[in-house]
Amino acid sequence: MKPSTDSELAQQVAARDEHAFLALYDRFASRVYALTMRVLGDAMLAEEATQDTFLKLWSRARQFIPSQGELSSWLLTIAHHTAQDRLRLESRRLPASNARDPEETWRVVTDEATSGSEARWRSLYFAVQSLPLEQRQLIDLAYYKGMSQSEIAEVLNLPLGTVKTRLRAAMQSLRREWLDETEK
Amino acid sequence: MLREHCKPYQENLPAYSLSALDADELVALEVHLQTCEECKTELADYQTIGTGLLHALPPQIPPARLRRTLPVRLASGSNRTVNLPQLFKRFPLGRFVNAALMSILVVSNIFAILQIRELRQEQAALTERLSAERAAIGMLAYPNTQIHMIVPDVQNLTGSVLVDKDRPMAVLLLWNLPRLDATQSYQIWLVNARGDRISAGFILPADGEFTTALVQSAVPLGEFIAIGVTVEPAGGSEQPTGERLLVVEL
Repeated sequence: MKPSTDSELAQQVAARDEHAFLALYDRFASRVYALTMRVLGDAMLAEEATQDTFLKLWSRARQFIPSQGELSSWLLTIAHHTAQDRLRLESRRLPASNARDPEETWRVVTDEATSGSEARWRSLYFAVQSLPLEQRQLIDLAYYKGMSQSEIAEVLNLPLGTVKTRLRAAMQSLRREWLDETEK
Repeated sequence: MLREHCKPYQENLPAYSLSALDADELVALEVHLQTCEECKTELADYQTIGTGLLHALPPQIPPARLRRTLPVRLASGSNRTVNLPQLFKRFPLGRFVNAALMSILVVSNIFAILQIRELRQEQAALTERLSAERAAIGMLAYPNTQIHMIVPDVQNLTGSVLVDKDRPMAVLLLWNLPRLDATQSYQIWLVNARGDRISAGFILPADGEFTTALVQSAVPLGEFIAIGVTVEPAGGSEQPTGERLLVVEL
């Protein structure tokens, strides 16, 4: 039997189907947890944020509109906001995830198990990793930790102009190296 | 080719796509984006990267307990799991120890206050008894003092009353006075010729066999014909209501 698509499962979740809910959990929990872990840098907080994200999926599944994008993007956006809200609540800026070396995890993901879109995300990960450290750090603080450019300048004790230049250079590099490449 | 006036906005597009633009530049850029298709197109590219960053992290498997507890959460409608390790993380051990010490301190203080109150009550009773005994000694030495034997209404109770009819006081000396529970007290009454009963104090039974109590009056005892004692509710009554313990005719 052909497995249900993400959208079909989301519709079943909207109809209060717990089996569909757990099927979506099995599909996306590791991605949601990785994202919340990256934002919060703490296993316990990440676990709570992951739980909150899936509870929001349960209560808001009706709001998902398949024509507007993939369920994974919708769910990860919820996870991103949930984790950043939690980060603000904790009133602290936690360090980047130190649970384990992310590259190590990628090595155990086999090519056979990697779908086309996953390969695309994987290439973005490596594109980010290939950025100079000072640019990669800014992506992390801006996107995952939710800091503004002036906050980053304060935290890193850098001139605001330097932060702007480095962040812009990082994004331009990703646009050139990843976006243009994958769209060919 | 972007127009020259787009340049300052174009530079902010990467930060805007990551929600890292400061508020002062945000509004200006959003106004510009409403009219500039070139900048909108470029922004869409950066936003694709932003969406990609959500997906680009290597997967990490969450703890298995999370999957086990989620169905329970769905049923309960709760949005929050409070587990013990997290509780300890939010309230580290030091805070628990401090809270425990504070609780012990508060309980100790309450206990000490109760003990002090009890000691003060005992001290007041002892002072009253001492005062009555000194009065008894003084009256025994006084030539006009009369001694009246009591007529007890309860078994084994014996005693006497020391009275000077010109003075507004008398002393009751009692042996084998039964102890009462906390809901009752012995109340002393003075009885005048009209039969009126006037409260004249209380008797606090002593621990030993011998109890001394002061009978207090606003007028000399000569105006009364008898002294009586009854058992009343704790704190006393306006008029005698309970069992009579004794009566002494003066």
